[in-house]
Amino acid sequence: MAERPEEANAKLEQELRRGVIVLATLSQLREAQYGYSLRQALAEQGMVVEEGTLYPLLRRLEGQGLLASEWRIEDGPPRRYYTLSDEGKKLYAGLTASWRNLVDTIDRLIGPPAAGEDQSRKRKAAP
Amino acid sequence: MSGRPAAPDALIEAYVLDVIRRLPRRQRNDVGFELRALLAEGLRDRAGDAGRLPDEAMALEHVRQFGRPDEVAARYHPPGVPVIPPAQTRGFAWATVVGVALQWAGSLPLALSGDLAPAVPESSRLGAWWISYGLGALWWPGFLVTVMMVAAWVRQTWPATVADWKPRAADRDHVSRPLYALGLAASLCGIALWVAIAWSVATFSNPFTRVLAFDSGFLATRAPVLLIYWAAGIALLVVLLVEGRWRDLTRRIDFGLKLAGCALMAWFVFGGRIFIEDPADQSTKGALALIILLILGQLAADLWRLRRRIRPPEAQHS
Repeated sequence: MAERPEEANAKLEQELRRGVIVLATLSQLREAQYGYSLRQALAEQGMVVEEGTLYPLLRRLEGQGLLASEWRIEDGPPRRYYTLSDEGKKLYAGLTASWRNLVDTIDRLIGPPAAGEDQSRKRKAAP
Repeated sequence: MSGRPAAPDALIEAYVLDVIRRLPRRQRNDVGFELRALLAEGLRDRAGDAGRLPDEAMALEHVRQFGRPDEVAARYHPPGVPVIPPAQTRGFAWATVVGVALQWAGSLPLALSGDLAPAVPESSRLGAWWISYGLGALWWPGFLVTVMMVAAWVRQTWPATVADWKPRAADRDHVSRPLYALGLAASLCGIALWVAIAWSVATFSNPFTRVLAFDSGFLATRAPVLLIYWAAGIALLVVLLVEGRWRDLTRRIDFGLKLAGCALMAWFVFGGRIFIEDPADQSTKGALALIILLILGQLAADLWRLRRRIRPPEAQHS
C-alpha cells in the first residue's frame, strides 16, 4: 500500500530530526543533567524530544562510553545525572564542527529563504 | 495527596516492569528505578499543567505517549547486527517458501497415493502426512535461519571492507575457448560412445551387450531425431568457438535448443522403451527426467540473468 504524502513527509522530517538528537543531547550535557531536566532544557530551546526516545538514548550513549552518570539525591527522589565523558567531549567537538560545515553547505544549496518563508517558519515554531 | 494517586503509581509501575523485563537482567533494576522516577515526574508536571491531581486515565495517556513497552525496551539496546540483512530478505523469503513448497509437492502426492506409508488407511493419509512430512518440511526455514545467523556472526566478527569487493565477469558474452573446446570434445566422445554401444550390441551377442541393447522402436523413430539434435548442438559449439563470443542470435538458438532438448527427452521418457532391459530403461529414463529438470533450471537462470542486465530506461517524450 502506498504511503500517503503527509505520512511520508512526517517520516522524512522525523529522520532529519533523528540525525541531530545526539548532537542536541550532547550539547546540553556539558553540565550534568538528569533525564527529565535534560528534556525540559531541550524543549525550552525548541528541540522537543520524546521521552521514550531520549531516556533510552542516554543509556545507549553511556554504554558507548560517551556519557558518565551517577545517582544523586538533592531536593527530591534519587536521580541519575549524566554528563559528557572525556570521549563524549571529543565526539561533541567533532560533531559540532561537522554540523557547522553541514549547515553552511545546506544553506548554500537551498539558498536564502523565499519571501514569507521566514514568517511562516516563525509562526510554526511559536508555542 | 492521598488515596487516588495510588492507581497512577501502580500503572506506571506495571508499565516499567513491562519494559524492563525485555532488558538484560543486569540493567533491569537500575533502568527500572530511573524510568519510574522520570515517568512519575513527567506525570506530576502534566497534572500540574492540567490543574488537577493525576489519575489513572492521565497516567495511561502519559505512558502510551512514552511508547509501547517492547519498542521502548528495543531503544535501550544498542543497534544489533540483523540476522537477515534487508538486501537479502526477499531472497530469504523466496528460498524459504520454495524449499517448503517443493518438499510438500514431492511428499503429498506420494503420501496420498499410499506409496510413502502403505499401512496407513486412506482416510488418515492427509493427517499422517501433515504430522510427518508436512511439518517435517519446516526443518528448511530453521536451517536457513541457522545459516543466516552464522553468516551474521561472520560479518560481525570479520567485517567486509570495500576492498574485498571484486567485479564478477562483466562481459557475459565472452566465450572461454579452452572450456568450449573441452565441451565439444566431450560431446563428440559421447556420440562416439553411443554409436559404439549401438554397433557392439548389433555385432556381438552376450549378456553384457544385451543389457545395453536399444529398443528397435527407439532406434527407428527417436534415435535419428537425437542425432539431428546433437548435430545442431555441435554446430552451435563450433560457431561459438570460432566467434569467441555469444551474440543475440546464438543465445536465441541456444535457448531454443535447450527447450527442444527438454521436449526430446520428455518424448524419450514417455514415448516408449529406450532399452530392451527394464533396469537400463528405467534408470536411463530417471536420469533423463533429472536432466530435464536441470536444463529447465538453467533456462530459468538464463532468463533471470537476462532480466538483470541493465537496460536503458524508457524516455519520457515531452
